[in-house]
Amino acid sequence: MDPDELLVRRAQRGERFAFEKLVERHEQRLYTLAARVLGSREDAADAVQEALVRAWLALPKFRRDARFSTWLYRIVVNAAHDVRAKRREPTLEEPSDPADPRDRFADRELSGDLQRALDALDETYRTAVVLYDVLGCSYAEIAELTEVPEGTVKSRIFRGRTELAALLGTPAEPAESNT
Amino acid sequence: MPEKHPDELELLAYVEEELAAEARRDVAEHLVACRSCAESVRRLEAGRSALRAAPLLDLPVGRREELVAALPDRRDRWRAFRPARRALVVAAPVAAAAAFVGVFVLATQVDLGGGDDDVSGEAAQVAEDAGGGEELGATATDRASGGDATAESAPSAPAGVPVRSVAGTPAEVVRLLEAEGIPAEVVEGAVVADGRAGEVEAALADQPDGPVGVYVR
Repeated sequence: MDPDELLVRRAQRGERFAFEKLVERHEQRLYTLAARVLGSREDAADAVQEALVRAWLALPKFRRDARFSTWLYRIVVNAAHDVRAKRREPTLEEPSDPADPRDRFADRELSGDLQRALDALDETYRTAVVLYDVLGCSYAEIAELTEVPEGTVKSRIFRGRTELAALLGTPAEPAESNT
Repeated sequence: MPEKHPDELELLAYVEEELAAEARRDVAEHLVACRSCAESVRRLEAGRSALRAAPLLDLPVGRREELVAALPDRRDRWRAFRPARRALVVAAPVAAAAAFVGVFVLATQVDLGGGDDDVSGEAAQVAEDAGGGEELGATATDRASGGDATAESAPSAPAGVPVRSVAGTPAEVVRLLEAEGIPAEVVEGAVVADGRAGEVEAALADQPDGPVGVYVR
């Protein structure tokens, strides 16, 4: 059973408090998804904001045949796409000082090598690898929320990962191998 | 080297350890002899490592509160959670006080319901029940003790007021609705239908009034 089901039922009936609990439960993943896809913390917060409004309004129609998280991710991916379309210009943030991780907007990852490499990927590859490797979605969930066959999802993960590795110029002995 | 290279999906499945033993062995043998496939595998693993090392990101401080505050009102039927009725024996003074709170809460709910005819019908029904005292008292006590806590303790109960309250058993009502193409299920003795209130009312038009609450989501 979807671990969110009880809260979802309550939120569907208009209980704001239940929806707030769901937001609390998922906000980090929704924000990470939007930020990795968009490459900008501010745009990501806007996309999450827009997605939550859409989700709240559409919730009575959510039929619970998908996991709630999958449904939310789909709305975030669409909202991020819309935010990007509105911007129409490169969205990478001003590099912030990586020495101060407590700064509200400082984020080494977003301005770092990984994000630059992600930004250079085709958007469909980027979305697939973020959903699969960062958020831990299954092939089936990604297929459902991006509306493509599982084979396409796997192909996008293959290309996303291999292109990313090439962009990062990983050495023959990757530094990550000891983690 | 085997004559045929594994395709992308096979290499991904190899890296993700999704291949059966025999297929895995075949790919492994191929990789020993094929530099280009071995390089693909190395990149798949390096890309995965880089992505999986990426942390989840936190919303900027205070932003969640802004997000939640920005949610608009939703004009749907169910504005308040009401737990399923439970027969609880409560001390008389508590019951009396709680009944008073209960009537107040119901009156508020009627106001919120706007032009919804069903709501006033439900209010009248519960007002009758109020003569019985204890059952309503228990319900009202739950509400009075804090909606959030109540909701957590009985989260799957139908909320709001029913579209109809009809004769029969919950299972029979579910069958009636499904015969009309409206998915429905039994939740704590009530029926929750996946449909519009108007459709549900139409589907149950011939069913006399009775004890089974029918809700829509």
